[in-house]
Amino acid sequence: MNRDEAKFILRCHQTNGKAGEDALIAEALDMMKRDPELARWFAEEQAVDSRLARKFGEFPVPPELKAQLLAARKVVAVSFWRRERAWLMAAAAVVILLGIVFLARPRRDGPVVAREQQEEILRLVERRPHIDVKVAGLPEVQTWLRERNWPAELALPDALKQQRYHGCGIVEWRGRRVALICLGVEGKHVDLFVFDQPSSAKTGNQPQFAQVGDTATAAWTRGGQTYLLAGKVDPQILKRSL
Amino acid sequence: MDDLDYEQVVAAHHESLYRFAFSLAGNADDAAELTQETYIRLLTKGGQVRDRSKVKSWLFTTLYRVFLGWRRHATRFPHVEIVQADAELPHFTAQMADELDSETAMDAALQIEEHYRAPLVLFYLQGMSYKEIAEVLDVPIGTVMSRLSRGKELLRKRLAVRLNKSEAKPISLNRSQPS
Repeated sequence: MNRDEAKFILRCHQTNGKAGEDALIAEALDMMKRDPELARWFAEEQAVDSRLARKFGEFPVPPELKAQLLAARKVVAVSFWRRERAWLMAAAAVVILLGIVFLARPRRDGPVVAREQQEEILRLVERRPHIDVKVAGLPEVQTWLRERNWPAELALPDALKQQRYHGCGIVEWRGRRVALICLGVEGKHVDLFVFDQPSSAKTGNQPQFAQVGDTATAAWTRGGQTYLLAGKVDPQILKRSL
Repeated sequence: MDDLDYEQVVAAHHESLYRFAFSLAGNADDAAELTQETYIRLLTKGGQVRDRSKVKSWLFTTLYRVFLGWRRHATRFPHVEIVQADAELPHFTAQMADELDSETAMDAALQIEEHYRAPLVLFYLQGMSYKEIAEVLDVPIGTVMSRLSRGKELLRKRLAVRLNKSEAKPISLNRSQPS
């Protein structure tokens, strides 16, 4: 760093600044200690700067400005509320419109859970262990889910309710929380996925059976929830449990 | 932002903001309006300022952006014709600075191109470091350093000219001033 470079850097330095945090300024200040002419120049620079700073700081401000700024708060508060109310009304209109569209939409005649979705969902249980907690029965599953703000009123067929429940957890699929319940059916391990959302399939309230690779599945919708029962078992076992 | 916070922020920064606004706009009416617009944005969007220690920087950044927005969409801030300073001007000293009043200092600053003036006023008015100035004006640090250096030079030359002229006649601002 030569003297001109040091001057260029020091010209931007505030005397109240933290020179130690700035390597460039620290270096220039260090050079000043060894260069009396640079030190003289900087002292004069600082003398001029401090006076100019004072002059700018004395520039008159309208005395009524502060009161006007404080008064603006009330005006803004009112208009903000009006704007908020308009937004709320607009949002309510959109919700109503969406509701009408949803109710009026035709129910599709298709699978309760599409095959590719089933494949994705089944991969969730490849991880071992895939449950968060072991349980002694269905009531414990419901209690555990309820504690995690999950709608635990599971509308299960009576035969399925009678099975042995081993554990449960909550997994995430496509940004949604999905309840995962492990149970034994006729001595075989099966997984039950519960989605807190009905399927739009026309015949969704009846179980639809499918084979995804070596896994037998059954999917249905009931009570506003969609269920997918899956296991590497004989499909007849699933049918008997529903 | 609650009422107490807002009052404190107004009390702490409105004068500096107004002076910065004046240095940009060049007249009292627009400076007051710029300051008011900045505080209105604080009231409506103040939730964005999570860190209270950043309020000052947020206010200056916002005011500068409001000014740039106005300038883009209106002809309220006509381009100031810059008169080139004579290269042989006298040296500007601390004693000469003592002879100035604040209006003369501001008026001389207003004769400098805005891209030199804005960092210069933040440097003098707020004691901002060049890094803080770079953040407020959203320009690279090296650019701020160059503009500060050149801005200081230009300001001193203009002040020196004014002081020389003032020996013959008093200095007056040809702009509307706050009452």
